Amino acid sequence: MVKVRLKFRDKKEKSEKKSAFPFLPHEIVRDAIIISILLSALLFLSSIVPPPLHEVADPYNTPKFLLPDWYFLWVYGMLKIAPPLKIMGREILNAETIGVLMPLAFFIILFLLPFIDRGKASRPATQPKQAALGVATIILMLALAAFSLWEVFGEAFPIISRESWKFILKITVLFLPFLTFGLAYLGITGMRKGYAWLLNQCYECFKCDLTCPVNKVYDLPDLNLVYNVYKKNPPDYLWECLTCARCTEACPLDIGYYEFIRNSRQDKRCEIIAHRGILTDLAEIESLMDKPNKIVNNGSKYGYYPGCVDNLYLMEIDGVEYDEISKSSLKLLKNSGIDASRLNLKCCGHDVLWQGNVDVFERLKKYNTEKIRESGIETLIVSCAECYRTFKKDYDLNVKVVHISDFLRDKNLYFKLNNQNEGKNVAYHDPCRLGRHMGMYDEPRDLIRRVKGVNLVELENSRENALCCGISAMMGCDDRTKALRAYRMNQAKYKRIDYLLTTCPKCVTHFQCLKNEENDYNFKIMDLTTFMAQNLEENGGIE
Amino acid sequence: MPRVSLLERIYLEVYSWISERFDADKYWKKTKSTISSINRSFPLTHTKKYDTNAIWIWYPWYCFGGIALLSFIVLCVTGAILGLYYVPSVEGTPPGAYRSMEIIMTEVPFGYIMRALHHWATHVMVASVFLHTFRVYFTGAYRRPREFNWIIGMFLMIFTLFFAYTGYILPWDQLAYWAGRIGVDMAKAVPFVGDIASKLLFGDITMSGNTLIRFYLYHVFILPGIVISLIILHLIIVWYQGIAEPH
Repeated sequence: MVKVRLKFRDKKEKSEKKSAFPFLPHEIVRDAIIISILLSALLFLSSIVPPPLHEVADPYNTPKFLLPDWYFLWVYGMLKIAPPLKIMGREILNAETIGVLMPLAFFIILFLLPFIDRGKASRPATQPKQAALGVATIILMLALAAFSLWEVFGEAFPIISRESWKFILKITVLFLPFLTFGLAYLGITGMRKGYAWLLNQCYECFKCDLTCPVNKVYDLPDLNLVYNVYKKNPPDYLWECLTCARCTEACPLDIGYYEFIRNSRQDKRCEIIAHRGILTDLAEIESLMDKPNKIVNNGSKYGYYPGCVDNLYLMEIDGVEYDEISKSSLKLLKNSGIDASRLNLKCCGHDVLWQGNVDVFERLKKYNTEKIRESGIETLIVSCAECYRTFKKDYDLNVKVVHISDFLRDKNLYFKLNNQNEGKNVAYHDPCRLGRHMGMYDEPRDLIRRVKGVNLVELENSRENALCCGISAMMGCDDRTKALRAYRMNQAKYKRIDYLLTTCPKCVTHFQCLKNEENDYNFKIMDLTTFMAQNLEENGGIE
Repeated sequence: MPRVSLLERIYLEVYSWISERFDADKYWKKTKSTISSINRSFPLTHTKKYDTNAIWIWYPWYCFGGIALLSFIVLCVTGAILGLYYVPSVEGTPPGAYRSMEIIMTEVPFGYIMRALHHWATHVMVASVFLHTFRVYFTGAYRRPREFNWIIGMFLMIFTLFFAYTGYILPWDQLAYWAGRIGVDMAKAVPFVGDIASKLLFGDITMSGNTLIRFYLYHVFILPGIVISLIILHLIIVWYQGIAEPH
């Protein structure tokens, strides 16, 4: 802890030193530039445009157009547009009085503004209503100024008659501000979808640095994730980021840093894809293949998507029985009375999306979306955390997407630990995609608690603080990310658990890989569905 | 012995000659430390602190308060010079005010450029006051804890407009007269107190010599005092509370 604090202080000092800004040359030079530009502009204007001096005042000779200076035109427009106030045919206030009261009311509202509006935001993008109101007010003032000039317009542009000019300008005053308010509101809320304004809010509190698992193992100097990557200074951490969203969880401003990383990765190539990029290549080949329609449509309204584990079972990486996951899921669904059709789609595209191959992702998305629409299902059930996140957030499906743990939670199923000798301490590892990305912490836990005889243990870092398994989107598997994995596995070891459950096949694979290598961990690593299916009581739980 | 170029040798010779006689080294070091201590004591400006591209969209908007102040200074200087020659009178043909304007424009040395500067600086000041208000509005800078300064700023805006309006009347030409008529009519249209307000503000219920003298008094005596003191108060509060930056 002391070390961490020291690091924090060092970074703070460094950043302060780095951003020191000398007043003496900079500010004075800047002010001198502004002053000289202004004075020379004034002198230039004065020398080429003479100040007007019209003929002498004559009370008996009304000029053709009575006009104030430009900055009073909007008040003059109010005077001209004001209608008399009539109640029951009797004139209570005449038009002139209303015309005077309108600017008065406007100024009174302006004076009271800080007491009316008590918000805290300080930029238009964070206060769209207030900003749109401001834009609409400016437009209203301009429209009023234009209205006060209707006689001039009628004289200068006699294409339409003077009265039509008056009518058009009056309509403008009445409707344009509302239109502007709507447009400005939509525009400003649209701005909020960008990341630049959000990242720009970062005030360098270093919380993201302190929580970042990559920073723990890589020991990058002065990382300050959000701020530096936004400034591209330096941009080298782009591929090291695990997109585990711990920084966003820690961020006081909730800056969606991992999504920013994903957007930054677009159209760039990662050089360090694990397993020589074979899985990425597979996804790319699959996206280009013209797969025949093999979707088994048994008329069910529920569809189950097993994910790429269906294709991986041939490989048997690290002794994980991948086909067991889909088999178990279907078994659980069948026992809860649902005959889900097994969808034979292409890869959901999670990995290629997070590796920046947006083209491949878009092809996969297009194919899958079409096939899901064709199959006629209404609810799509997935067991993989990554698939769940991708279908829910990155696809625009018109079917309901649910995770199997959420789906089974209130179904009529009975579980009992069928092998009491093996122990009963079970821990759940939150995968980043299901936990922090989708906010599902309780659903899997509730499901595990329903197994009779199970003692659910929480690891040291769980729920929002869950540590990463060390791999995301099949990138950058090396000694350092393996250290992260070992750290997580050790946390499980110290709790003396018998089962480590999770909902992400990627976590399962990589934990299993470390277990096979180290031979130090004597707990079983399993997917949640596999565990539940093993302990399912087929006869409905009647003892 | 490192190689020293000719230029460096000349510099060293001259510098050591001066330093030997006048302790230049000591004073140079002192100056440097003073500069750096001043630099360190100043707060970071938002442009540097948030060293991003987006800030340059905002940055010019933070200049308008300063531009308004600068044009106000120009107005004070040129106005003081014009005041030496202006006569607030409607007597004679043409009226004294109009005649003095003609003299300023044609006979007084640099009178033309002074009046032109006064005219254009008014436009710049009014425009920048408006833009400054918009900036304060859109960055939400009027909110807690800056409510008081917003109210002072509102007074400043109204006084600026009144300043411009009174100055508009002074030449006593057609434009001035009829702009004045609109103002008098507006004042008279205030319910219940219309005539009193008109007499109080304009000195009469129509445009006359009284109006001109009263407006001259506002323009050169009352308003400058109020506006200068309000500007000082406004700036002190800005200095104390700091500029509201878009975080």
